[in-house]
Amino acid sequence: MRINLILPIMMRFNIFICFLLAGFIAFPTILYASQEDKIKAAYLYQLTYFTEWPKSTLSRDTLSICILGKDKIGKELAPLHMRQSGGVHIEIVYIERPIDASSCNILYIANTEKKHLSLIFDVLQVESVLTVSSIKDFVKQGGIIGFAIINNTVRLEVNYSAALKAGITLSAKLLEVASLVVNDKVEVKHL
Amino acid sequence: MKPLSFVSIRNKLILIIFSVSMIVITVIGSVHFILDIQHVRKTMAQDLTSLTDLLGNRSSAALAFDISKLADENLASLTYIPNIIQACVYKKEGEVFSRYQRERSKIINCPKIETIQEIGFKFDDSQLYIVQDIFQQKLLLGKIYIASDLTPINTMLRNIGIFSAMALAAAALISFVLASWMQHFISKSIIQISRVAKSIEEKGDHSQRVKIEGNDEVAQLGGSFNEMLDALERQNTLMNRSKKMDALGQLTGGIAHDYNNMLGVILGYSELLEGALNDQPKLLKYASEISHAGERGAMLTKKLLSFSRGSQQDASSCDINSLLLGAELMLGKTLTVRVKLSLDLQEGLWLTWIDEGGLEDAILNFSINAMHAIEGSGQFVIQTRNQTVSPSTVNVSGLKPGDYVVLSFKDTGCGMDKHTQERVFEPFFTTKGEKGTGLGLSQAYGYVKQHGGLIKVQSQLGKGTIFTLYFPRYVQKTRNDSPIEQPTNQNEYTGNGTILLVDDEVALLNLSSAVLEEHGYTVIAVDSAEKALKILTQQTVDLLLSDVLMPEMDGYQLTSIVKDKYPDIKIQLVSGFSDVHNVDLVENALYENTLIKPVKSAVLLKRVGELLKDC
Repeated sequence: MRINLILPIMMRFNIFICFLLAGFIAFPTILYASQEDKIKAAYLYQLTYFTEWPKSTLSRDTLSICILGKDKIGKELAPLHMRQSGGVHIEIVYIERPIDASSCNILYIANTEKKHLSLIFDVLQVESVLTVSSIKDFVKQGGIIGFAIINNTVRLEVNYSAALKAGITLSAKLLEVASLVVNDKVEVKHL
Repeated sequence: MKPLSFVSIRNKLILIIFSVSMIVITVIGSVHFILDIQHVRKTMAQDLTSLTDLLGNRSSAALAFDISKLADENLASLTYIPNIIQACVYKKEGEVFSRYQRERSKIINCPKIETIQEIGFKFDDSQLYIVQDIFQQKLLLGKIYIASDLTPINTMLRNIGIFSAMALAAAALISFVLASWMQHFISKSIIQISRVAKSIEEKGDHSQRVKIEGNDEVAQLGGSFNEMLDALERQNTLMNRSKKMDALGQLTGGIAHDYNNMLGVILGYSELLEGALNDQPKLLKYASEISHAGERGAMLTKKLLSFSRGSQQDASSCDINSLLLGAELMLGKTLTVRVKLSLDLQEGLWLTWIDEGGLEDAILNFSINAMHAIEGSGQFVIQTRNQTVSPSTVNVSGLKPGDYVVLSFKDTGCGMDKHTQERVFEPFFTTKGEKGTGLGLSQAYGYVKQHGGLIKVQSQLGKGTIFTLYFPRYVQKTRNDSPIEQPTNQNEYTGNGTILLVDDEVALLNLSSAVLEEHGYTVIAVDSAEKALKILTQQTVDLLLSDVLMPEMDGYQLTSIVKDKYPDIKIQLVSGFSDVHNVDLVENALYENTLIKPVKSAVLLKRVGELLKDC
């Protein structure tokens, strides 16, 4: 049965108006979400310049940024593939299982993996992987870098002790720009 | 004209020292000041570059993660650096990310990134600004710009400049004072030399001397100047003495000439009287006394003529050593036993052309003087040596260049003061009172001068005196070395012939005329050369017998004309006073055979007889 035939004309018009209004309301949010992903993608790239991995874990030629789970950031990271960072090429890798993250240098954990964080941290506890995520209170749960939205601005949260545990050296400047630094459960508010 | 040629040496030296000092100080000061400015600017640029690097580095994370507040806080720390006017952090796209400015009251916009693209620092009139890229590792994140105010630095440099100018002025003053003082070391001696030279030029006072200090070139110049003055003074003394002696010589020679003429008349007529009074013994004795007195007078005039370069008639080559050895015994007796005589004779002494008799007289005079000068016992040394005077020593010695035989007399007597030394050779000057004639040393002086030599005296009161005689070396026989003619019996010289007798002294003319006529000659007597020449145009003459010294035309000039126009006429010259003027007009033989007044009748007749024997 055709809808046109089922709904009266007036109702169809109202539904159109409703969709139109819903579209007007939803469009800025979609637009902002896209901008936020771009910033996060850019921050992921910048992080490579403020982070030092143990030499043994770094390949000579590539630096792997892995994405675990489904996240729109992957689309924004795509242009970074094979781009250079400090003399090495960046490689964007999509992984499906936490176990696959052991070969990554940076692991971006999508919001979809919120429930598997403990598992992921268990898998990576002996690996030098910089874990990054937009999951709320990510750094408090054991992640190293978290993206937080403060006053409509993407800000960094840092778990310094987790980074040390992973054998990763974060630049002091990174700690300086972080809005929250967690060190052995102690939280320091910055900016 | 050279610059500064009118400026005194003192002012020149001050100017040179002052200028050099000021140039050096100014150059060094300027270089130092410029280096100071450069150093200050460089240090400031380095400091600001370091600060920019630091702030850029600290802003890198803020830029990377877009936290401008953090960058603002970083830039706010510039508050503690008062010179910083403005600071801006730019994103790499050129957008101003963060800014700082000292002046809160007025917002100063950050310069556009396009206008500050160049990385590095730049000075303009009042600002230094620096632009640096901000990197995180090799990732370009943006740029940082910091501008610093140069006013305090410029004020400081201006103060340094003012201080330097004041220091330069003080240095100029010190330099001038030092230059005025230091020039004295160089100019003092030069100015003194100049003053002495000017004083000599203006006052003719050669006795002044430059005071010598130190041993530098100027002191050496002063020493040489003094030596030159010494030599000049010696020369002047010699010249003055020579002039004085020449004048005295002329005077005494003139007197002697006149006396000779008078003595000639006295002797001649007394001889004639003697001949005429052979039968009257008493009158003959009177005539002999007159003749004897005339001869003594003739001896005196001979001495005077010796002083006035009278004659070298009796000169011959002489070995002074032999003469001294021959006279040693006589000299020893003269000096008496209280004075020891020593002869210091050089072997191979050169010969001289002198009158030995005159030298014997001179040696005797020096010996007698030495004996008188030595009180009690003493020593008298006669020394001979050869000496060559080179052209370079001529001025000092007063001798012409050449070889000389030097004869010196050194005594250990009482010596002479300077005044006595200056007058010692003057005729009739004596320190012996009535005991001395004052002719001994003047005769020696004339004798040495007559032989082309020189006599010097050195004496020191209480120590003794040295007389040094220089005789030219004899290298060529120039005069007839004939023996002295002895008077002979005049009766043997009768002859004939026409004699033109010329003498301006009428008494002598008459005497000679009488003697010659008495012995058979035809005599034409005239009292001037002009008259003689006139006579020669009128009649034939066999012999011209002429005096030398005559007014208007002398005997030499007359002889020259006669030789030229009347070569057959024999010529005999007679002279009482040798004058070298016009001597070159006559032949050497004629000059050498001149008869010296007063001429004894027999000598005259003998010579005339010889000349006219063929007539």
